[in-house]
Amino acid sequence: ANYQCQLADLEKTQQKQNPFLKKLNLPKDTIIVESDENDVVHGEQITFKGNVVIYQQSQTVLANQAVYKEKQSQFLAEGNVKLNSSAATVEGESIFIDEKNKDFKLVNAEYQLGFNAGRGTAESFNIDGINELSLTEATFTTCPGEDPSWLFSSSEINISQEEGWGEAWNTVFKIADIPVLYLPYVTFPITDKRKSGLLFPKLGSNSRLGAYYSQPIYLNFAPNYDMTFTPSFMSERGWLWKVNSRYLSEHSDNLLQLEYMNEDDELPELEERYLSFVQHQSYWSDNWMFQLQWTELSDYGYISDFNSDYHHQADTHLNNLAQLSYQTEQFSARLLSQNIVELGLHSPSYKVPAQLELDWNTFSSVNGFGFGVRSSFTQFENEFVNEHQVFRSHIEPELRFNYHQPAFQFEASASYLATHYRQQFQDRDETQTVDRGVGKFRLLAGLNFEKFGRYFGEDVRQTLEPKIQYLYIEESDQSQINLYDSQRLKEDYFALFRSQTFSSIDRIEALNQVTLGVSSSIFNQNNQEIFRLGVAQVHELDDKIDLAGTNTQEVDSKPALAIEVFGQLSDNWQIDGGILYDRTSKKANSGFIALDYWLDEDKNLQINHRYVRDVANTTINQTGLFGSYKLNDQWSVAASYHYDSERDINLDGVIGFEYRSCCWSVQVSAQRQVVLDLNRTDFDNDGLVQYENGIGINFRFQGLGGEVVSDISKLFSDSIFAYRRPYLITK
Amino acid sequence: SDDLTIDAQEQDLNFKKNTMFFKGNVQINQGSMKIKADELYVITKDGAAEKLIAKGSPATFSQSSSEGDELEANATEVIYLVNERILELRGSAKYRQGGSVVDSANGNITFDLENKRVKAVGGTENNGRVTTTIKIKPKTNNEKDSGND
Amino acid sequence: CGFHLKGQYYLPSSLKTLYVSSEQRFDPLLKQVKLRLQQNQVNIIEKRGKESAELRLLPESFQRRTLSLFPNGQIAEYELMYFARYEVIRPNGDKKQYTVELSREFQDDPNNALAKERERALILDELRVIASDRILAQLTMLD
Repeated sequence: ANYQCQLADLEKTQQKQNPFLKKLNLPKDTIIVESDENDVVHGEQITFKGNVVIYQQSQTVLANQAVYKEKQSQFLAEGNVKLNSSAATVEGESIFIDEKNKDFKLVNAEYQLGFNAGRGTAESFNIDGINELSLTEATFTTCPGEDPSWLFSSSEINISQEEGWGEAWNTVFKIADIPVLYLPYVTFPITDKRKSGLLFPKLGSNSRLGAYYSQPIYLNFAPNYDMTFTPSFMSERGWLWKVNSRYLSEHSDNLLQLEYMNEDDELPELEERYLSFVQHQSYWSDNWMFQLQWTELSDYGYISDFNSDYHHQADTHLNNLAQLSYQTEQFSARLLSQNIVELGLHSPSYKVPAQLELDWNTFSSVNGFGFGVRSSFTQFENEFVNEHQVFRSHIEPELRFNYHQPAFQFEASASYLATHYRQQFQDRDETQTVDRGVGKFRLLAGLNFEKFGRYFGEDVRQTLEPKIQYLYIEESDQSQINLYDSQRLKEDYFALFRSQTFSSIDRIEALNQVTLGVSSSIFNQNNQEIFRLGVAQVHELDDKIDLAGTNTQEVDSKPALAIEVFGQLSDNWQIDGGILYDRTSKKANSGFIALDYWLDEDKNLQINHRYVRDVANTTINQTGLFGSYKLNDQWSVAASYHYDSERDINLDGVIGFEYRSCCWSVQVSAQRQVVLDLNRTDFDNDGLVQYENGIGINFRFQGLGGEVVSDISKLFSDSIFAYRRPYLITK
Repeated sequence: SDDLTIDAQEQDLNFKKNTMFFKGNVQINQGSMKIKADELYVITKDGAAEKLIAKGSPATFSQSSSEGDELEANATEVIYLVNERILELRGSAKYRQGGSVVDSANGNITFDLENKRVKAVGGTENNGRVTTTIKIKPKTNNEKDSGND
Repeated sequence: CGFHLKGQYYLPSSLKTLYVSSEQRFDPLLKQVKLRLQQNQVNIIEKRGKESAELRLLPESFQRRTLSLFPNGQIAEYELMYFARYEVIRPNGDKKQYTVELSREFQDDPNNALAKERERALILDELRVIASDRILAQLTMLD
């Protein structure tokens, strides 16, 4: 009884009409009326009697009798009137039609909307020339049948089909005929192209918040400006007020999220707790852009306590930045100010009060040569370390040649990396300068083989791409250079073909190596990669320069073999796995394997295991399970479980169900999750782990936006291991 | 009322007691009214025409009027009661006036020429339905509505 | 085993000259796609031509999925998902939309958050290069 249950009613009402109803599409100025008889007073009025059917444009009006006033071109029809138009099917006592403005006014009407499952009654039901509906003393629901499970009753409802929006005044919201809520003014979506957050209360209880109820109220002031006000009450914490407003203009899009709680019963010592989040992008002419993303928190536990739409509850840091960019075809400049705020007792990174990057490069598609100069001038600041002020300027001219053919790619590049540091220390006055120049040469050649074949009964294209890279980076003394924004990059299949091993230029590792790799992928008809296997191996041409003595970080040898596999193993099984094997120490640095069992859209199971020897000096050895099963049109169940075998603790367990009826659905889930303990400095002590368990109830209205579809993955929207809403990652 | 003229190819003035018969391209004129038919029976009373029954395939009736929206009608049988100025069209009766067209399929239409009223009743065809087509006069300037013409 | 060197990128003649645009101003993918097309002998015109097709890039979007946690519950590894959507609009106006979906695993390190932000930017650039290859490959399969 999902969406079909609405459609069934719709068809039923259509058959009830008189059988000889024709389907006409008339020009705007023509009306055809069929009746048993008519009586014309020429120039005055025409009276129609007996099964009157008025056809105009693509609408039809049925009535017992009707009178047409010629001078005013107005119709008045009475006696079980029935209007059939794309906007709505409406039955009423009488209808008044103003043909000049194409306004329809029905009295004591019962209506069924044409563009979604919305229906109800109205004392007066008007459709104006551009399909805007306005109802007075009206009710609205999307539930079929006599006693709807939920219902709006409002003094006035306006619905703009074109905007996809409705608004209602003095609305009493009833659930199973019990008044639950009064709203003086409210807007609601009538198609799913708009935010459908309104009136979807979220309620539940967990040990972190106690019993909670949050009620989003969405106010749509203009197509480009809306605001969501969300008061929520938490029995263990108190009232939390959230306001989110979005404003789009021709040159900018802006988002402001403010959250405030004046007293947290659980942590009164924190006094008021708040979050403010700004996200702004503005453009002028085609070349200039300014971007701002800034979060301020009252305390770093705020997000892990109350979650947030724009951060993940288990994020490790906030990336606050403002940047001004200028860009033309060959030249780009960026002025950035970046401030990383760590959440929890972590050693703070350097702040970047200012960084100017200038990039200029030309590329001639005729002979494949390109020349470019990248440069950056960066100021670093960190009051928590002795080397608290550093100024780095870096210039990197590069000559490139690449030759591209479908079957063969060749890239060669030679560059010189010149960097100058000016370092200031808290314990001495004079500044220290360091200069470093490193030459770099890289060759990359690849062949592309291809064949067409069949894979699980589908025509596919399979590729085989062997690749070889030679990389030479000159050795240089970097003992005086600290790591400001550089760290060793994650090593995986892709890393072996990179020309840098650190995230930035504070460390340029001397290399003289050849990387051999081959990867094979299978693409289906619409060019989606459904299988990929990659193997790559690095051969050191001479033993690496010992970087000892530069900083305490001991540089272990680079893992030399990476294997990566992803894709469809059978009709139902999909694999995603990778391993990084260090041939010298004969140990696997990291490895993960995920097996998906996929019966169909609504029945799937995923088992995955991850092992990483060292992520920020901790070993990851975790197993995860996620399963969802659609029992029938109404019921779906889902569960997820994650276990950390390194520390032998359960991380997260969720079990829940979703019930869908024609016009509403509810998701109930029980969850047990490890509590974030931000006061633990080092990760590997196995202190006592606390858990938070809770029940969540998520209520949704169906039929407003049309398709009723199971949304079972939303069951985990609050758990750590869930999809997060698209998170704007700035460059 | 204006005098009534009839001309036709053949005529039989005393076809029957107080009935005249005309045949072949019959044309009847009275003032602004004109009837054309294949056959015409005229029933007279004390020497004056009282009832005309014109038959044709179809017989046509037209009347120009001062306001300029000329009336045209046709049916298989047009009956005209001269004194009462009532005109009855029977059998696939249809008429047009100004922008409107009324088609009674197989029904009949009665014109009260005196006080400009027309009644149409459906017949056996099109399950007894009368179809009226109305053309809405375009808005004159003063009535121009703000936006949604 | 049946493999042969990939034949010429026979871009259909209707796509040999292309107007490339993006709905997102300052779109980093636009520069990369233009470069890749130029390298493969596609003639890129500056203004929308009546008889030439258009490749229109739609805004990029990203998603994250947690993969593993640190002992204190914070995210240790997550999957970074990159979606590049684009439309091929033919001179006669008919439009077809495509999506490239790529994902990479990313390890976080709260003690070196600034370096991790640089690494994420580097990975995104790499994903854009792969996305531009996929777009080119898709264009060659159109008629």
